[in-house]
Amino acid sequence: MAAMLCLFSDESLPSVFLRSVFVENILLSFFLGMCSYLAVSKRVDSAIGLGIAVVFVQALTVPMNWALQTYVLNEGALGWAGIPDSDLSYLQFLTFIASIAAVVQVVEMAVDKFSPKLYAALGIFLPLIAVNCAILGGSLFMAERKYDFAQSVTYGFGSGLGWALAIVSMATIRWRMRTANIPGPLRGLGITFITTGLVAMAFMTFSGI
Amino acid sequence: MQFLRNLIEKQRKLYHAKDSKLHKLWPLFDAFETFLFAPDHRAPKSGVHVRDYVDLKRVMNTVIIAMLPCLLWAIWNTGAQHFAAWHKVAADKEYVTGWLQAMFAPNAAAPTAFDTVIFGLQRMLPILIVSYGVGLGIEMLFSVIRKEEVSEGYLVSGMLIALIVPASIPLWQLAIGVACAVVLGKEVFGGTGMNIFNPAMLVRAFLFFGFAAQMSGDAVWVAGNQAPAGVPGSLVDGYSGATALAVVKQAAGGASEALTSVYSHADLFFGNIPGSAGEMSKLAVLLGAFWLVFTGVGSWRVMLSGVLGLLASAFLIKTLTGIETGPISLAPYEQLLCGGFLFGVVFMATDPVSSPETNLGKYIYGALIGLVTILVRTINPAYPEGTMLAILLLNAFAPGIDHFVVAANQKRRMARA
Repeated sequence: MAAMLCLFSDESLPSVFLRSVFVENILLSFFLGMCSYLAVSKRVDSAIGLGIAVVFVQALTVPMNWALQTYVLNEGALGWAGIPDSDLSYLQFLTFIASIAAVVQVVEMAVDKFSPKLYAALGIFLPLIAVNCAILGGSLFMAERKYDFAQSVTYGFGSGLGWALAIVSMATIRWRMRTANIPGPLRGLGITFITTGLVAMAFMTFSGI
Repeated sequence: MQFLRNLIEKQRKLYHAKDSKLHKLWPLFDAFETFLFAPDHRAPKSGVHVRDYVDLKRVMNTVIIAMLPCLLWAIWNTGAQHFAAWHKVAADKEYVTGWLQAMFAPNAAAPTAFDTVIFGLQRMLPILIVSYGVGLGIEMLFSVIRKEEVSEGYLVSGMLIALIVPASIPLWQLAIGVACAVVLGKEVFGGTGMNIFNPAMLVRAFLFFGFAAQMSGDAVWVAGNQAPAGVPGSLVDGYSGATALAVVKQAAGGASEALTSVYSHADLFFGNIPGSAGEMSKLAVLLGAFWLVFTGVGSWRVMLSGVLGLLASAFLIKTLTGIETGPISLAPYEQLLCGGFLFGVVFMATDPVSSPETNLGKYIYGALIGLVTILVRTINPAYPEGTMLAILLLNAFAPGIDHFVVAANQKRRMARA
């Protein structure tokens, strides 16, 4: 049991990963990134595309914001530049949003260049990742929980993957439900919310880790 | 039989015509008629149609027959466990009989086989009645409102529910769980055949998260009788023992030794253990599995890949980590003997609605259920058992598995063309 505890303690990487994918799924337990989830889960292809984009952006921005937080924003973080008593943490939101917007811009240009088909499929939603609350939420959770670099990389990748899993499974479920005789008032968003709740319950499988 | 047929035909005109008085209740009439007599909707002999009497209702009845060994054993064993526990902790107290015992077996203090069965019935009958009553009531209500035929899917769900809740569950909790699951998990999706999650599993999940204290899965309550006021300690309600998997979870040393010191392999296999009805006897589950595979109703692919997935993941995680203590160290075949995995994979995972439709998808689905079950059992300190959550999680992914299998298929055939 002791060996188990150290392998899957709160801080260990497998535990951070499993928690960010399932237990603390950024979409299903924090309801972040809900708007693009509801809008894009109508089609499986776009859901997969957006899911991959979120994994990519999240895995880039969380470690990047970790670096900004550790070497610029934290109290006394600017010691390396000769300003030991600085405290720029009040600039956290601004800095994070700006860095996320920059990364998204680069990703957008890269997708446009290398996969115009995907670019066309994602349409308006790729720029919208910049204001996807899941992305900012991921960075803020990273700062609040004081993750170190390895944990930030794991958390960024894991939370992005959790979001992608949720939207892809929801898109395929909605594809299956297209022929179901759902009561009129619940068609569309209503049944999607109910299904999301049930999927969220299923994602509690690993809670306790 | 002809008498019954005539009676039904006489009633038919009350319901059938659009303007008849009771036309609103036509779905109910139809449900009872097709329950009693197989509807004759065979196709004409000529042409390409193939159709026989095996409709949804007969398929559901086949599954119910498969569950009978489990149910019968549950009735017997609930009583046997009750009297064993009573003799262990309260033999010197006055024995208080329950409602059914008061009618048929008043001298239950020295239990015979008959008393054992009576106690089991006393526990299982109310559970079955509440499960079927609430569930079918909601189904019929929705059918009448939506002017559809009452569909037969719930016949199996109702029985499954009775087999996966603890025998000691308060009936009001069961009723709430069933109502939530049938409405939110099934009716809002359009009824039988449209649900994403297995409704019986949802009942258990709702109860698990809603009434965690009674359902946690690490202690098991041996069913007893209600204590009348002023007779303290006269019952064994509240007598709880650790389930096999909880013993494994808490094992300080090797899990296999810890397990066999409490429950022998034969007890685990034949079902001489306390627990939810369905998880008791692995033998009864196997009998059901053979019947399902023999009649072609249950998918052998899901069962086979589920069992193999469980054994392989248990073996891999045991060998790769090399940990000698705790739940990881349990031998793979013992993982199969403990808990409700076998029941879950035979009766819940094979549900044709909530599992993938493609053959390859079924293999993947079963194997992942085995993997997730082992992961929860070994690395999640909170839950000793993971079968229920593994199946629910894979229910959520089943349409996705189908999608990717079909997409890969299309890609392969396009490449070949």
